[in-house]
Amino acid sequence: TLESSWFFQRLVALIEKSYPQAVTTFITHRRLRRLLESFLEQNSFSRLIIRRASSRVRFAQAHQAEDERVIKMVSWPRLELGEAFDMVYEHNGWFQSLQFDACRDHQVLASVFFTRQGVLHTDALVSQAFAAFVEPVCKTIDENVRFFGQRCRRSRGDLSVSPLVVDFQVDQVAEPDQRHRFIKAMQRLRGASVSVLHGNPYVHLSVLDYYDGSAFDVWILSGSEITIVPQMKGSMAAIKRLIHHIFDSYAEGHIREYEGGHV
Amino acid sequence: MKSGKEVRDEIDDYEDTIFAMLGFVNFYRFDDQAGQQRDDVVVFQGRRLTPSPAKSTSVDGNPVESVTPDFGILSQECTGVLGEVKKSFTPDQTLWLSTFRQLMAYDDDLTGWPTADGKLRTHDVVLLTHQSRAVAVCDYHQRRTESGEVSFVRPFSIVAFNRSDERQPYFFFEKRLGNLSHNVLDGRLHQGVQVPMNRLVESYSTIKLCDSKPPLPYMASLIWEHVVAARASDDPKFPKLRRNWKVEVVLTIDEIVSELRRDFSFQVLCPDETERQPMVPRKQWCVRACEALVTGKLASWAERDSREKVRFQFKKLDNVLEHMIGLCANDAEDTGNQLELFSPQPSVTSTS
Repeated sequence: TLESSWFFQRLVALIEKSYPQAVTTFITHRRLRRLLESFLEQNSFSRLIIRRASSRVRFAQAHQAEDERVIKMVSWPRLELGEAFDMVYEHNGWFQSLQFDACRDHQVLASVFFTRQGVLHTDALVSQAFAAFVEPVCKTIDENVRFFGQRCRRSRGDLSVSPLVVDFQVDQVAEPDQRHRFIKAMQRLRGASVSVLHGNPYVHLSVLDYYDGSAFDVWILSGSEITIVPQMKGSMAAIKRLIHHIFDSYAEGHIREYEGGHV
Repeated sequence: MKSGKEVRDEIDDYEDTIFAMLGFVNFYRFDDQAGQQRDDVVVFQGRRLTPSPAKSTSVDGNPVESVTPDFGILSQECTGVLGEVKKSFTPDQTLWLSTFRQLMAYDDDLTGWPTADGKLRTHDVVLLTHQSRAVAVCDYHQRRTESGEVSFVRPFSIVAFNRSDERQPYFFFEKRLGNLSHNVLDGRLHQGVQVPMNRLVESYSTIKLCDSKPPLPYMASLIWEHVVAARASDDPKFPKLRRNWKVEVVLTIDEIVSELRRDFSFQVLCPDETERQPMVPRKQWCVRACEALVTGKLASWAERDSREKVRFQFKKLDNVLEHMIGLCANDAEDTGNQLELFSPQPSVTSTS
């Protein structure tokens, strides 16, 4: 690792053990790319060279969702930002962490390490890296706390639900094989029971999180959306873990409030 | 012994019945102009209503204490609606008359409405049935009306429903016979109305039980996931729980009933605590589900010779529902038709 063992084995481990009181953040792959592009543009670097990448790649035989496997990989691509992201997309994967050089012309101005959990290391340009990564990530954490907090029924006086929607904005879950793949992806969620009440054509799952006892109903009732309904107990940490898993093991989407009730 | 598919079909039927009820009552509850649920519409399920003296005796001469329609709706301008949901009818049409007698029992000056004096000037009677049986049921109604065996004084309607498994699933409702007093809704249902399922996710997620015995594995899963797990998660050992480690949770049957009633029954829509409202889930459903968990070594009875208190041994199950289906597969009592709503037996309660 780039950090001392104390950092990862003690400090990060301590944070992870404090779940759900303390949780690391989660940055979508789309947002990771935007942060890097913004860092490049705002500081007028000529390029960012990805030196080391920790990634996950999906392997599946054609049309056999049950055989899908996610493989951890470490590579030293030495590719520019756009090329590296194109490469990982082509291989049906995503980055977990990146070490990259910020270059202006032929000069390396800083070597930066950044993970999707929000861990940042840089050997130079500290204020620029702080502004480009730490500040927006903190803003995201604040937004997440407000958006994902108070979602469980127990926190609401009338015990009503407060669903949220993962909106793919395209027909991501319209076909039976896509829904089947989604169910299989959900069943790979570690530390949880995933029961299938209905699998096709609509999907209704009951998820019980064994980290803190949170429970969810997960529905697919439209070709482009997944609706998550936190039940009596539904911690912010568990909601984030569930969405993180959907994004990493199935597909990334935009998170928004559920709008329903009208017939 | 039932196959897993048969049990899943039963769960599907049970959920469809609740979804159909919720879809229909939502026609009254939702204010199209304001774009929100109306506060002045009361919905109730399984409420016991007292018949008038004229209908306090059944056709076979037994006294009738109360009638329990599957659902009721009370709104200011549309008076009231009492309805029965019957997804399937047995092929033997000689048994259909009991359903119509049950509906005719609702065509009465009943007492026990959630009003100040428990009375209502008039109301509609509605039969919700699956689209596949609607034509036959309407024909049957026609014949039995002509023969004088079936008659209604109050407005009576037959509304067909069907879950359409399109890419965007929806419930389709269409009036097949009669008229509703709610003129606008009557016109809409005459044309047929699609209710997209994704519009009612909030209701589907809060109402998982109705006044009809649910499939045993479904009941056991609800208890395990939403009552036992919630208590177990308060234990400091819970987050560190390894496979086959257990957390002990002791609960009374009354506590289980109370929590499931508060969290997953129609009480959400009608918080009326009067004796007329049914205790859903029924205590005996919970006892049976707990007996299945005891048989499956996930629990034991806390007191000898008593079925009042359960000592659960909560542990991680990869797929709770699948586990419960396996657990209940050999249950001798769980082999009949689960859905009393679909049963040809009338839900009229008698003192005899």
